[in-house]
This record gives sequence, C-alpha cells and structure tokens, in this order.
Amino acid sequence: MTISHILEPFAVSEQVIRRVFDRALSRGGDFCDLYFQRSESCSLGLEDGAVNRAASGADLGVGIRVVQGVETGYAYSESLDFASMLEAATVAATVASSGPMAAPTAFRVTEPASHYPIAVQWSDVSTKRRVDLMMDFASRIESLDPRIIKVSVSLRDSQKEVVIIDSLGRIRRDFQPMSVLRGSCVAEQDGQRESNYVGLGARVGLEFYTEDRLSTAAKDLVSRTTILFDAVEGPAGEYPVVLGPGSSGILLHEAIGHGMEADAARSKRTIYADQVGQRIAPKNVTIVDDGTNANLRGSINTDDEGEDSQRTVLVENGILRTFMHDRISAQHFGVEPTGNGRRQSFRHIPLPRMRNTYMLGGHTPRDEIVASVEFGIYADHFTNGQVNIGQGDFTFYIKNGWLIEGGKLTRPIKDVNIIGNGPDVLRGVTMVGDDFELDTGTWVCGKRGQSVPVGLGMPTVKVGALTVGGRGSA
Amino acid sequence: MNQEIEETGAVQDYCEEMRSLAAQVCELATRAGAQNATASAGMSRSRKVVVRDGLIEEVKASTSRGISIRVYVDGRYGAHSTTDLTSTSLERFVSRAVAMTRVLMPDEHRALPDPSLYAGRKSDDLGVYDRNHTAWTADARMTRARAAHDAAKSAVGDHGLSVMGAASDGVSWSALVNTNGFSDVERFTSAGVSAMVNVLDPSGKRPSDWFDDSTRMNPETLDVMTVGRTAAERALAQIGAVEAKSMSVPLIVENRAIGRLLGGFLSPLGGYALDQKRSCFATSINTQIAADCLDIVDDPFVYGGWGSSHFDGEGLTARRQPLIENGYLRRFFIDTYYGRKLAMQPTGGGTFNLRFRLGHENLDALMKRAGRALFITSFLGGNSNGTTGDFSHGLRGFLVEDGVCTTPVSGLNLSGNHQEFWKKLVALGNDPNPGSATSCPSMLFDAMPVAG
Repeated sequence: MTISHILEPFAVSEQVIRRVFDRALSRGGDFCDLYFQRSESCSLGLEDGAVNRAASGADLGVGIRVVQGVETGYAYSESLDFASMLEAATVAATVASSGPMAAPTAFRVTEPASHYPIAVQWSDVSTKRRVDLMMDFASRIESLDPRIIKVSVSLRDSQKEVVIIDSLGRIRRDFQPMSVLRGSCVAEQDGQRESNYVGLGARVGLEFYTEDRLSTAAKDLVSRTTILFDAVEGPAGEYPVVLGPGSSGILLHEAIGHGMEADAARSKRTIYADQVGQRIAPKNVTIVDDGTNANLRGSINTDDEGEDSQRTVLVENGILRTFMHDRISAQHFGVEPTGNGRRQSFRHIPLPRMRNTYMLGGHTPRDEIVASVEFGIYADHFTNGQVNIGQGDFTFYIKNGWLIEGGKLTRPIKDVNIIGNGPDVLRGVTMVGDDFELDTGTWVCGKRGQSVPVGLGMPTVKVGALTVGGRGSA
Repeated sequence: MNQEIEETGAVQDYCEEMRSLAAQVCELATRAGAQNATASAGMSRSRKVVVRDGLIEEVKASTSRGISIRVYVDGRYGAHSTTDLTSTSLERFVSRAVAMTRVLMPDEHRALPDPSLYAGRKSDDLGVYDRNHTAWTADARMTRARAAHDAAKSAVGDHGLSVMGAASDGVSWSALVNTNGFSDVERFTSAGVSAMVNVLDPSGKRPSDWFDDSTRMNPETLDVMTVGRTAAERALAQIGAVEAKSMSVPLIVENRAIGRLLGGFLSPLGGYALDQKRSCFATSINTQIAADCLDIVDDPFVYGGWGSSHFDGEGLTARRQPLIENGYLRRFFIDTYYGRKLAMQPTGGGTFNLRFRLGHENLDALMKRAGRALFITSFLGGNSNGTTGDFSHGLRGFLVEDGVCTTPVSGLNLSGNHQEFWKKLVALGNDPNPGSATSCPSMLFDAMPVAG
C-alpha cells in the first residue's frame, strides 16, 4: 500500500502533506498529526407500517493537531484544498513555541489487524432490501401481542474511512463500519399505555440480521413492554442490588471506567488518580477494556492517533493495573499508549476513551446470587447512566427490573434510578456470576462534547447496597 | 502564543453565498425529479481556548460549512446532508438523495408549509449578531480564559486540585430556501467564558463545579472575574458532603438545574409524541397541568436571546405564543407534517425563548419561606418516560434548615410523575437563568419524598 494510493480518495498529494507538516511544525512542538476522514451514512425510518422517511449524510474533512507537552493546538477544515489546510495548520501551530521542527522525511504505511470482517457491505445493499428487513422486523413485533398499538423501526448504517498521518512518518488507514437497528413500540391495556425500545448495534453487514436475531429482539421488546403493565413502584432507600448480565455493564462503564481514563488522572480529577497498583475491588473482580472483540460496537482496529487497538486489563483480581491512555497521557505518565485515543470525528481532539468495557465472569450460578438476597432489586435492563467523575457518584436508569423477595424474583419494577458511588460499589461487589454476557445494545458514550460508540459486558453481579430511587415502600 | 492569524481580507458575511448555495441545491433537486425541496446552507466559524492549571490545554479553531436538503419526490420524503460542497460532489449528492427517496413508501402527509404561514415576517434587529466580531482577537480570548482561570485559582486556595478557565466565540451565517416561496438568511454571533474547579474533600472525593457567562454581542462585557470566583466558591461549598437518607421536604430547584425536569415535562407536548401515542398530556390542552403560578410564554423576539429568530426551521413566521397560562396548557408543538397527520393547526415544532412569569423573591427568600427544605443544585442522570409521565433523577444539593442553606448532600434521588409534579409548584424566584433560551428562575415545590 503506497501513500499516494491511500491519499487518493482525499485528492491530496504527498507533496501537499509535507508542506502542511512544514507549516504545522513551523513554531515547533513535540508531535503533530493529520486526521483525514470521509464518511457516509444512510438511515431509514418506519412509522405506522410504512418505511417513509430516509436520511443520508456525507462528511469529509481533515483535523490538524500540534502537541507540545500537554498543550494542544487544533484546527480542522472541511475543505481539502491546499490553502484551507495551510490555514488550519497555521492555527494549530500557534500552541507551539520551541522553535521550528523538521517535517517527516519518509512515510511508511502499516495496516492494522482487522477486527470487523463483514460479508455483505452496506454499499451493496439496495434500499428495497433495507425496507424489507424493516417491514419484517416491524411485523414480527406487531404480531406478538394484540396490545401493541404503535411500532416504529429505524435502520442506520455508516462507513467511515480514516487516514492518520503523524510527524513520526507513520500512516494508518482504517475503514470503520457501523450498523444500528432499533425497534420501539407502545402497548395499551385498559386505557394505560407503556412504551419501550430495543436496539442492536455492531460493526456488521447485512448478514448480522438473521431471522433468529430479529425474532429474539422482537420478543425481547414486546415482553419488556407488556410486563410494564404489571410493574409496581420500586422501593425507596438502600437495598442490595443484583445486576443482570449484559447491559448492566453500563454501571461499569460509567461508575468505574470514566474514573480510569488517564486525562482525569493526569489532572487529579479522579479518585483513582493515585491508586495504580492498589486494591480497589475484591479478588473476584477483573475488568477489561478491549478494542479487539470481533464486530463489537466499541471495537477499533487502530485508535484515532494511529496506535494499535488492544485488550487492556484495567483491574486484575481487584488490583488497579493501568489507566486508559491517549498519546498525551501516556507521555505524561511515561507508559506505552493503550490504544484508547479516540475522537468523534476530524472536528475533535482525541481523548482517552473506552472501547468495549467489561467485567470477566466468575464462578457463582445466577440462581445462587438471587437466592442470597432476602429483599432487594434485580436490575434487568438499563437505558442510560451518568457519573460525576470527581466524586465517583453515579446514577443508572432501570427500565425493567424485579423485586427480589425471599430469594426469588417476584414482581416487576420499572422507570427507577439507582444511585451510588462507583469506587464504593466496586469494593462492595460480593458475588460474580458465571454467566458473562456481552451486550449488543446501541451504546454511545459522551465526554467533553464528543460521542463515540462503545460496547459493554457483564456477568450477573451482586452489590451490597445501592440507593434505589423509587416511590414505593418496602 | 499571541499571534494566531485571524483571516484577513476574507469576506466577512457569507449569508448571500449561503442563500445562493441553498437555492442552487433546490434547483438541482427539482431537476433530478423532486416536486418540492427545502434546503438550508450554513457556515460557521468558532474559536476556543482552554487553560488548565496554568497551561494551555487546548487552542481550537474551526470553520464548518454544510448543506442539508429535504426532498419531496412522488409523495415520498427524505432528508439528506453533506459537508462536501465541491460542485461535482454536490450534484451527485442531490441526485442520489432524490433517487434514494423515490424508492421509499409514500407518505401523503409530507408537504411544504402553507405559504400563507410565511407572511408577516418582521426584520427588526434581534441583537443576536455583533457586527464588530471581526475585531474579536485571539489575544482578548486568551486574556479572558486566563483571567477566569486565575480568579478561580486565587479563590479556591489550598483546596484546589485542578482549575480550568475557557473562552470561546463564534459566528454563523445561514440560509433557508424552499421551492414554494420561502427564502431568508440569518446571522448569529456568540461568546462565552467558563471556569471549572476541582477540589479535594477530606474523604478523598474530588468534587467539582463550574460557572459560566455568555453573550450574543460585546464579549468585553463578560464577567470573567465572577465566573472564576463563583466556580471556585461552588466547588468549595461541596466539601463535606454527606450521603443523606430518605426524606420528605419542600424542594427548591436552582434556576440552572431545572432544565432537566422541564425537558421531560415538555417533550410529551411534541407532534411525534402525540401521533405515536407516547404523550401523557395528549388530552390535556386547555386543562390545568401545573399550579396557577406557572405561566410560560414562547417569545421569539427577546433582544439578544439565545433562541431569538424571525422564523423557525420550516420557515414559519415566528409568533409570540403562550405555552402555559396560570397552569393551563395552551399549546402543543406541531410542525407542518404532524399538523397534517393529526389534523391540527401548525404552531411550530419547537420553541424560541421560553420566558416565565417571575416571582418576587430571590433564592434566599425562597429558602427563608420554605424553612426546612432541600436545595437542588444539579441533577445526575435519570430519565423521563413521556408516555406515562414518570421520571427519576439523581441529585446533589444542600439541606436548608431554618431558612438557611447548610450541609451539602449527595446520593439522593427524586422520582415523580410530571402530571402531578408541576401542580406542587409553590413559587417561582425572580432570578431567570440568563445563559439559556429557556430562561428558568429557581422554583419552590411542595414537600416531595426524596430517596436516599
């Protein structure tokens, strides 16, 4: 693979790249990179039995970054003509003051390993075929229960081509696919209405949407909607909480993961700032942030600074091993990058971000975990969560859950927050299930105004006590 | 670091360029077979500098240009956007947009607005564009960021872990053009300064808080010293927070925090929610859904307002409209599509500036009136279910005892239902939040259970 071949889709020559580097490094700096991106997306919407809305988007541009120490100069351009790129390079250069630096003399292209093989590319799938898929999914949902009165479905796919060129002369290219199928429905019973949704998101092609997968998702959605009619108010106060497998991984992501991103550690804003090498969880807890899982939503072949993706063990048998690093933080802490430097697009500065974050499975059967709780909550399905990194305080919104009474799941609960403190909860993990599950939901992580796709996973886990924000009484 | 090169000699108003681009795209769409089209084209430029702990964390500059088009083809509808504006790409983009739309299923309710709704548009100055923006400099921006940072640093003293000051400003030009007679342009400027402070609590926790100030015009009027100092004071006030237990007390929600609750309250009023039977307020028009003291008007013409405009995203002429009068719901948010689908008169699918009938008391007086209460300064996460009205949000704040703000508290959660919650509103403060198009004052609610 030659540099000219790689630059061809952007209509930029090697000579132009050199001159942009010259300008970007004209005042010095430790490091500089150019991030070219071309992406296309297509989405279709179904409401009231018809796929009658389409949206498509095309995006093209370059982001130019100059780094000196922990200081970053950044500018981007949506136009790839020489003058616009030079102007962006000039702005990015203003952060530096160490005296002019030489541009790279030679470039070398390396291909990253591929973690998202695809059989049927979306560019080869006709609109008609997409419409059929959506109609099929909608009718599966609708036919499952006569109480369903509204169904909507959306299907979105995107393809992002990125080329990262840095002042060390390294060139990295990646093609990043993504597909998301969502279904939602409203059910009515005795004048009462309830709604819910299901989402499947992964770096996959059309082959992902098998009959089996569609039918499982439809059943999951309908049962999680109609059960809401029987749901009782969640209790208010502190109770033991059993986190179900899969989507409970959001707790790990929000409550623990964000505190282990190295930018927060660098400026001492996280409670974990000084705790590498120390015990922060019981021995049965191992937490991994992994960019290499096949076709998962948070997988990346290369991070957005051109570093190889990897499987990073954050917490090993309860001991904090490392933070998640981007280039700046790795340099600051004197460690190797972990491949966590991610950005939403060429418009954004890379930051340490999670990929697929999960807790490894343990040895306790799920039934045994539930049976150990006299009165508490079983959290089945979460929609969202938020954390205050400095304090470690978090909240998670339970869309579907259960009361545990006398060691059994008894009555369903809905729409209730649980709140707690991340570091406390991690210390308070008492049982880890043997039923580890990766979630295939459509998770998006937001940080400093940037959104990136992420993946989650979790076995069933019992946490000593969390505040349940319900209105009912125990 | 004082010599960022501002573009010199460049054209300083792109509105007409955007208008002709939008018109050209409408023309291309018609030629490709669309019966109707609406195009919006925009260009914006923004600058930002972030100073953290004495160093420049980030200097950022951006120029964005983009176009989006909504096409109506043989009774079908699609919305498409691109940032690749070279003329060959644009032609290909439009023809693909039309082709893709053509193979969808028809939707008889899709149409451009009734052109009579474009009538009566005013053009007076709304105070949202500072003609002098070309004189805004990198030096001034850096000075503001540093001043906010320094003010925060000196106010936080020994407890400070990390201090951040940031300043930004931007300008945008845009045009909206369609094929049944609408064509207009808008230009906006904005500037802001913010500070964020992290402090060390004896427990090892690291609470933080922020403060900001922003304006459409005249960045030199930004109160940088107050921003820095207040961020530090707010962070310091959180030291010693306790995990409170469940209680049932009156709630005072600070003006800048209440948006999260208000968003959940208003979202069931949209056309989508009504049409898809996801609205707990579907039959509530002209009925009382809040206490008598709640009175909200949507005012597009606030001078310098964050939501001020003479027309909405479809081109409908902006009007001052009541939303809630003495607790009675007066309006749903109905755009052209949902108006046709629901057989309702379009009222506009969004809002401009929401203005509240203010009370006479400031925050201190509200606390005094409540005696013992919970003062909520921020919500954390949670969600709201528009179909049922149920909501649940984590929160932070302070206990109010004998009418005075005392201990900081965390680990609490407020759950309720929007159909009941707003009826418990007792009083609004006289302190509208200036930094948002929805300019809420602080509010006092009757006793509610809070879980902890």
